[in-house]
Amino acid sequence: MAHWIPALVALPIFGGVVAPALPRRLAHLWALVVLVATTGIALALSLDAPASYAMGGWPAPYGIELHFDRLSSFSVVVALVTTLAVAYTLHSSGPLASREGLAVILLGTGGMTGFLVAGDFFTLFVFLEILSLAAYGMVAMSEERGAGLAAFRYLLMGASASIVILLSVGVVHTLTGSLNLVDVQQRLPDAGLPLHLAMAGFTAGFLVKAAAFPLHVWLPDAHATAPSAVSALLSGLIVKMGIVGLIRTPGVDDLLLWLGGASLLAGALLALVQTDAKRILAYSTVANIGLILVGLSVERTGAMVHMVNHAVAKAALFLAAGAFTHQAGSRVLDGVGRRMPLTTLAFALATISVIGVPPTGGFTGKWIIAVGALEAGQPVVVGVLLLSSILLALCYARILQALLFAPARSDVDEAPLSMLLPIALLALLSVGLGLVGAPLTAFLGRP
Amino acid sequence: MNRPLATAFATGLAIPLVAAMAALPRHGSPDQPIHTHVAAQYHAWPHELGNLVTAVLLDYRGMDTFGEVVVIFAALMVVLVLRHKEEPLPSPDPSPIVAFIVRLVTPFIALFGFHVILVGHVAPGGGLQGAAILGGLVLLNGVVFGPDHVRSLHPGRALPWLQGAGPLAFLAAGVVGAVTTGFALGYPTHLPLLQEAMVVGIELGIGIGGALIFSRIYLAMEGA
Amino acid sequence: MTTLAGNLDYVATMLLFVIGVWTLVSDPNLIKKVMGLNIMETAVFAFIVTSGALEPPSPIPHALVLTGIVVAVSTTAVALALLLRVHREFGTLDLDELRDLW
Repeated sequence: MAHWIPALVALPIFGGVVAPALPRRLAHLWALVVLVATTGIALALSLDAPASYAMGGWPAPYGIELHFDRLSSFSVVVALVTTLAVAYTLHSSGPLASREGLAVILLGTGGMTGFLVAGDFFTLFVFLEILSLAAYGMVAMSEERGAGLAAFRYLLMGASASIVILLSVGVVHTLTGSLNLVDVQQRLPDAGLPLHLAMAGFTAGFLVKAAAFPLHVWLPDAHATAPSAVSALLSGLIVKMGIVGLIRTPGVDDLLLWLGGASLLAGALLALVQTDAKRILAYSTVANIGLILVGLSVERTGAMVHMVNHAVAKAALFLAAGAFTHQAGSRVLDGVGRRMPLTTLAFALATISVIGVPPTGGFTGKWIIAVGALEAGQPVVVGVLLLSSILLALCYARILQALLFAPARSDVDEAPLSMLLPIALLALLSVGLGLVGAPLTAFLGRP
Repeated sequence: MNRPLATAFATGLAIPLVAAMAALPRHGSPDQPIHTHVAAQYHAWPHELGNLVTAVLLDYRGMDTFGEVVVIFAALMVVLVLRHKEEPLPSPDPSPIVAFIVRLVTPFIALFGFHVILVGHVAPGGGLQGAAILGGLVLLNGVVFGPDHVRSLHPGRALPWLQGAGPLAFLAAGVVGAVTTGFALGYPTHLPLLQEAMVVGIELGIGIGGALIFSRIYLAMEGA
Repeated sequence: MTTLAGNLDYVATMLLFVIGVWTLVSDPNLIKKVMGLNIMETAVFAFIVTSGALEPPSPIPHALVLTGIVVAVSTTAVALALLLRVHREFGTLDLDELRDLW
């Protein structure tokens, strides 16, 4: 397993750097090959976890240590979902499918894998910036009016959060003289205003990145205007990096339970008043992030399980929504589902998973977190969780109703295979993960 | 957010920040953890690279510098995708004094830029610093004489590869390091010539790649 | 412990940071907001660099800030590219006007 950890980071980045230099027709193939290889490396590393790697041969804390642990195995999901999202864009002619657009996707993937294995505060920051810049850019790679403004708003909030995180890194370095995650944790003073400032900074910064209520405001507009493949990456993977950041850095963890509950409620309530399918999906993400936050405070394994399941299901939902819009030629989805039965079936499967009906994947995480909350003596949170799930189920039902129970349109055909395959695979995976829920939980639960 | 609310928010934010700053270890004292822990070892260990900051950037914390060159490359990619053919601005008509001075200093600045890139491992300087100088030089000429004037500078077919010279140099160094020392981005102290070549190679890669990236970002925003 | 007077350098960087925050949130012009962000970034860099001040200085903060500056430049480049697009679509860069147009 010698150099696989740095390879996990280097490969997608290499892919992204080389992509603009390739002939146009090869770019997609190249991206897919790189991403499949990255998925393979991530899988191999996951089976061998935990492992460490000292970059340059310098031991921590003098050098930068890369560490692949259970949380890092999320990189399998990152690489897999991105592969399918890129496959989805095969026949697209938009800016996202250009060589530079694919390069941005690949670089963003490298940013995420780097973020997942970083064992050093500043390395976390740098790779967070790689994936964030890619994200701001990707949102704008759309012909929708207002995409640039939504991306800009995301940038303002995201970059502010990043600089607050950097300030916290600076404070932590001043307090301890080190930047290694483990070394710093051992050397931090137990109390003191600078410590609390740094912890508050990390929490606030990563909550913005994770789109938790009330710092979620950039997410709905970004989703409404971004291309569907980008929405899949954004809600499925990129906001999860905020959660990873909260896990990796010392923060105000007591707050997470309350903010999680607030996000669960706010996401569900705000979704109810939306009329656009993508906005409903966006607010559903806010609610699910809330669930993950609750999980972080009562049962961390549940949070990681739900990260995986929500990523897969939400990606399926956004890609399917994109397929509907693409085939229908507009955002109005009435009756479209009747002419696109396979896509609708996949959408329905993913919906069941997101709502959390057993035996789908979404149920596993919710169940573990709910049980954890009860054991931690927080029954109110369980009530909030149930209410949120019911409200969101209503929203999804509305979407399905519009798709199926309106007069069929004659001009709509089923989605092309390049779109249908990724959607179907993700939907099947979201159900399949539920069937292997126990082994998955056991796998993620080990240190 | 309106002015009074913003002022209140900013003032409210300032109080805990200032208070926290006051409680940090005393600034400038030698027994702060920041000087007694990792940094003390960096000072104590002998290093071939004369410039300790470069040693930190390329050797001890090379991964972060790699991330940095990837960030700027990613920014270029985003800017390229978002660019839009603009109406060309009217050709600038620089005054003879400005034109003369810019033409006069350009070769000297270019020389200085390359010098900064190559001297970085023993004196203050380095790849990105030199790239900023060269990129700024391109911008200066573009602003004074028009973007078409500087577009001809571009290396043409090799451009997509050269613009990635920064990340590619690091990746190459990573592989060489893994082969010679067993660790990615490690420098083979037992092969001093190779080590020197790696350092200079990385600096050149960052410098040329960075300069190209800065110029291309400028040209892309001009509507190129 | 330490006093305000002893850490005046740090305090100054935080005041600069707060000025940046104020600019970002209060000015309706989007370019001014980007400037506010840059002021915040510069303030954090100043804080980090000055934390390593001694004779000889710690090289780590210098390396962090060199990288940070490049990150800030990249962010600004992307921000301005986005603003070019916003201006093309809406004809204005004033947030108040944009609210009505969108």
